[in-house]
Amino acid sequence: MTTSTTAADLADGELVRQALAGVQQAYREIVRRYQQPVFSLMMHMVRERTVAEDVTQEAFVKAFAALRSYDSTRKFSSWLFKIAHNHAIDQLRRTRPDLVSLEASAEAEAWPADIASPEEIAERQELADAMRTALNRLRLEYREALILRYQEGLSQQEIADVMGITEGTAKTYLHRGRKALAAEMTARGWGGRV
Amino acid sequence: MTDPESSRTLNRWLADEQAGRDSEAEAEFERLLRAIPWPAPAADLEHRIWRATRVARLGRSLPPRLWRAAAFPATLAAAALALYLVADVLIPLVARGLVRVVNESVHGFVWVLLALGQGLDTWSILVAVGRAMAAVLTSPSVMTTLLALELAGALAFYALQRVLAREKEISQ
Repeated sequence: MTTSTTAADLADGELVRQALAGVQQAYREIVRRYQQPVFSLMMHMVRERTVAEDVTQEAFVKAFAALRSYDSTRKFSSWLFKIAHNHAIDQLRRTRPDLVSLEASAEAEAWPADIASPEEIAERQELADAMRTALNRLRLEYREALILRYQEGLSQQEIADVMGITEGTAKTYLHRGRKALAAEMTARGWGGRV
Repeated sequence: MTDPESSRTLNRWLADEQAGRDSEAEAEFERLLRAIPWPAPAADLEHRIWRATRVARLGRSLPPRLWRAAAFPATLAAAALALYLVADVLIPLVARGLVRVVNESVHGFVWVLLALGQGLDTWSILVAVGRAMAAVLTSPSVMTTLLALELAGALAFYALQRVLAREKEISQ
């Protein structure tokens, strides 16, 4: 393998096999492929950008150190999310970012370039901020389950595996989390606006 | 999805939730979450991960099999050394030290009583007691005992920290 284009075409299992064989490009491709999803999950868990980036970085280092223990019959993303989840929980226990203001993470972010007018940008930002703030008010377990399911597309069984819970509990978290988020959004005056 | 679409999706989701249409609500919610842009990591995160990974790999440059092969004899040697230190050096040293502390305390107590009886002032007594204590603490046997105890404590702390860190790694 000589170019990143080649690495980008490979399936996760093959990437892992090549990484274990010492191909550095395979490591880089794994990082490229999963840094955004892992960071997104960490951001929703620790709710603070710099901490989320640090935890993401450490989670990748841990994952690469344990790459030999990866069972190729499992989905690679689930395995990586599990390592990231454990590391974030560890970090939360150590530093207690629950004390950080809930609004602290509602910082201005870069928006996609396909949005034309300032009104549209403002509207989308307002909705995204409201969703983010409402999500941050949910229990950590609900937040994590919702992101894994609806943003990362994991199944209930995979969520259960990542979070170390039963499939039934994962289902409960998803249902209650969605209901709680809807209630929070409604309470903030959303719904009925167009 | 355009912005009015995002708003409409949100409204449909909330309406479905209120009406108890669970599967429709789930579908709308998924659509909404996927349409909303979420924070992206810093542009240099990939580079930071790569650099941290390389540093970590340097720290593990000795192959794991060699570590495992060296771990058992090293543990045995450390245990034997600890046993020797405790049985042959530390226990006799601590015992001798305790005996000396008791002796010196009794002598000191008697000396203070005699000094008070002879009308010696408090300052002179304190100076004499201080000098005697300093002489005891700086004697080779007491110094060796204290140093050995500190060394054993530091080694035990280090070993405990390593064991706990390893346990944590394994549990994850």
